[in-house]
Amino acid sequence: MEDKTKRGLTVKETSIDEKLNVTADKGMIHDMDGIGHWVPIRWYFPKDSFNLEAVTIHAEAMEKKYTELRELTCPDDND
Amino acid sequence: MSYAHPEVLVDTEWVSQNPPNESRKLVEVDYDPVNGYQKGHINGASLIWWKRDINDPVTRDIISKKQFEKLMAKNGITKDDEVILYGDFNNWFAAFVFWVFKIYGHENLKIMNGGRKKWELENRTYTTDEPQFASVTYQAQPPDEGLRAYLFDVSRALGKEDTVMVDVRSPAEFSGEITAPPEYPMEHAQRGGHIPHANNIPWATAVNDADGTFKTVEELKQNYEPKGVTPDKDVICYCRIGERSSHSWFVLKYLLGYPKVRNYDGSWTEWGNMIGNPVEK
Repeated sequence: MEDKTKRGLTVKETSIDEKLNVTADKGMIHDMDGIGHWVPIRWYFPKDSFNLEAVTIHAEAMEKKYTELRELTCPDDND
Repeated sequence: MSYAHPEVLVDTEWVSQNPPNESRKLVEVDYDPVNGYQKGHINGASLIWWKRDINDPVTRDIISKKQFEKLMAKNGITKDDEVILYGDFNNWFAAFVFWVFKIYGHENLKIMNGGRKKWELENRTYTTDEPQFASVTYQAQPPDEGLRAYLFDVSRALGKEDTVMVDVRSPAEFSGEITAPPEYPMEHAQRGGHIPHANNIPWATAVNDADGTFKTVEELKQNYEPKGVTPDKDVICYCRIGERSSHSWFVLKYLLGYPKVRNYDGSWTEWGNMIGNPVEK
């Protein structure tokens, strides 16, 4: 699974993402104060532990997070 | 041949042999202190956090003379102290702070060549202990505006043969392919490209890739002179937020001894966002 909003970000390490408990490629994004935060770019779900349905749940959660963020900053006038 | 002002540089070995004392202060300058100073720093070094300490917290500007005096007092620095700066990101932000110290007239000032990068490559030790300083007072000089270029200075210099613009960003930023790398989402501009007729001489061309130390005088001359960046010109350096350009400003002014070099700290995040500014791609 890949977070397309992180495209182009350099992979600095590959380690366990503690939130989803799977291996993930991670990069660093600096905030307004310059502080670097590790962010997952793509996750590797092992086939023997996850089926497509289980991965889709995580993908939909990510989609929901970005939809809510978009609504917060640029609400759709048609709603 | 040695640098024009060799007294502004010390190496890591010198720092390890000459720890801070009553009249010598060591200051780490970080863009990201959480992943730098707070994890470990050279024994006796205090911290200047680029975003919080050397910039005004509200307006986009460097700190005022009064704020600078307070910052010096907080770091236990007096007017005659020898101050050695070093930091993360190849000393970019240390060079910015060097520039601000010079704006407010601090004289005895040096940079540790190679910064954190070289110190770590040499497996030298760090501590997490933070030094405590007795209260001091500092009387800064009025700002030396001759070291700083503002938007109107750059606009006025467009097309002038005696002024040369040095864009120290990466070729991808210079061409407008990107406005900022994905790591820095807060540093984008509305337009990509560069200030018309600017020379692209990336900051990195002035340092040795292996350890971040500055190249030799001969190599530095070869880096700038063939592109028309010569001592007889009025030189203005810029980048995206003014930190990499202060690194090149330091090289041109102190290592090569150019008499008229200014840092345009507004840089691309100002120029590339202003309505009507000419942009070249």
